[in-house]
Amino acid sequence: MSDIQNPVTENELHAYADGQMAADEQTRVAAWLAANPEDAARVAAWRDQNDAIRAMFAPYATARAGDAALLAGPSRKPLIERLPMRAAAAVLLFGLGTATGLGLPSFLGASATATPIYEQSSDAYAIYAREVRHPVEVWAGEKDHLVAWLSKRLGEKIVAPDLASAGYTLVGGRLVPVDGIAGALLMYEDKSGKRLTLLLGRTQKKTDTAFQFASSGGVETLYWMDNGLAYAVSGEVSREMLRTIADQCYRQFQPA
Amino acid sequence: MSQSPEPIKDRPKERGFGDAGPQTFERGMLDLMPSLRRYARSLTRSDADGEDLLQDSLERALTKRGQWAGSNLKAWAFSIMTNLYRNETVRAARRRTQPIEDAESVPASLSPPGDPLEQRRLVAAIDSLAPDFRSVLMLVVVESMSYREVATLLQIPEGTVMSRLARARAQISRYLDADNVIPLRRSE
Repeated sequence: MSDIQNPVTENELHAYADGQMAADEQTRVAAWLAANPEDAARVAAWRDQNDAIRAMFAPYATARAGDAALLAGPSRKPLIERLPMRAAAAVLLFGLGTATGLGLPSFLGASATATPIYEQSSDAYAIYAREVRHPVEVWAGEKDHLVAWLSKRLGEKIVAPDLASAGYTLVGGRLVPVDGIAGALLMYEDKSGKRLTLLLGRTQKKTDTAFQFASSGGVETLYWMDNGLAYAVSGEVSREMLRTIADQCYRQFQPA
Repeated sequence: MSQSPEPIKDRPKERGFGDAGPQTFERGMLDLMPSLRRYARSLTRSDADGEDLLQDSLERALTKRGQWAGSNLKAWAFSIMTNLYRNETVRAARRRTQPIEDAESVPASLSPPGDPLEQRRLVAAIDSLAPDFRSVLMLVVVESMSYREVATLLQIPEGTVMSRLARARAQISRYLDADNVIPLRRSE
């Protein structure tokens, strides 16, 4: 970006994205961006980010009934009188978050106490995938029974995804606790005996998320939430492979 | 929580707080309250701490009222809040304690709909910024101030405003690292 041909500086790109430029300067930068898609993409990303940040904080710009009193008043109340307000604010915030669904499920790790699903998943993988004789409770030979049993215990109809196209076949499954309630762990392996686990848990809300990666000590996990279930695939495989697997799972869990 | 009228919706620098006369101090401050509240919340990352910072700033503004030169009330009020926040940050860093409500400090209520995971990642990315970078980003992006206004308000050169802004954005981008997240797609 510092070549001689380039009359547009980094600062000018920011100023352009922020709409802080004189009209003639804007024309010059716009022409530069038309010829430089990489810079154009950065500027577009900053603008999107600006919009997202503004939207994020917009709800806080509110007037409140007590505002005028705060300005007129003989300064503040003593701390002891402000404490209940702080507590009330915390409760209100929590309530709002819960009511609007934006208080994130503990699955995603928002709560300070709950173990996020990607940790539960990589832990389950680490414990069960290396079991030689008892990796599962119900083997793939009884697949129909396995799926029916786990669906019943979860309270959600699940399937055991067919991952043959990725080279993995079902080993079996077991009932496991996920976030304190019944969840399901399905295990797959490839021809070389390399294993993967798919952890399923019920969520309190029908929230959908993107796929997100997490790694922990060589174990890669890809997790997401979709239509009332939280999913996490763990294994000692590449992220590309994990993504292929997750894609397959995601498609096969498509609601009928 | 009702969405109240937003008095500083347009670019504030064009609204001429500068011509606020002496009688309009209260009126001007009252008009600034929503955006001061938002700025306080964006700096502190918690509703309760934001409200405390707002009250502290108002108290300071009232006692220092005589020092207000009658020029830009918004810049003056925002600089009081920024300075209080900086001092408080220094104190908090020494204390090393975290208020309990911080665990629930994800933006609540009227946030736009969208992928909650994406929102949470952006919140976390912004939370990861150092105080000086956070205040520049918030003043430019959320409060729509010009680079020059921010420079004056923070008493730093305009070039420093630019470099902090650039570094804040770079850090957010790194944090969001697009490789880590793949949008869901069922049909392909």
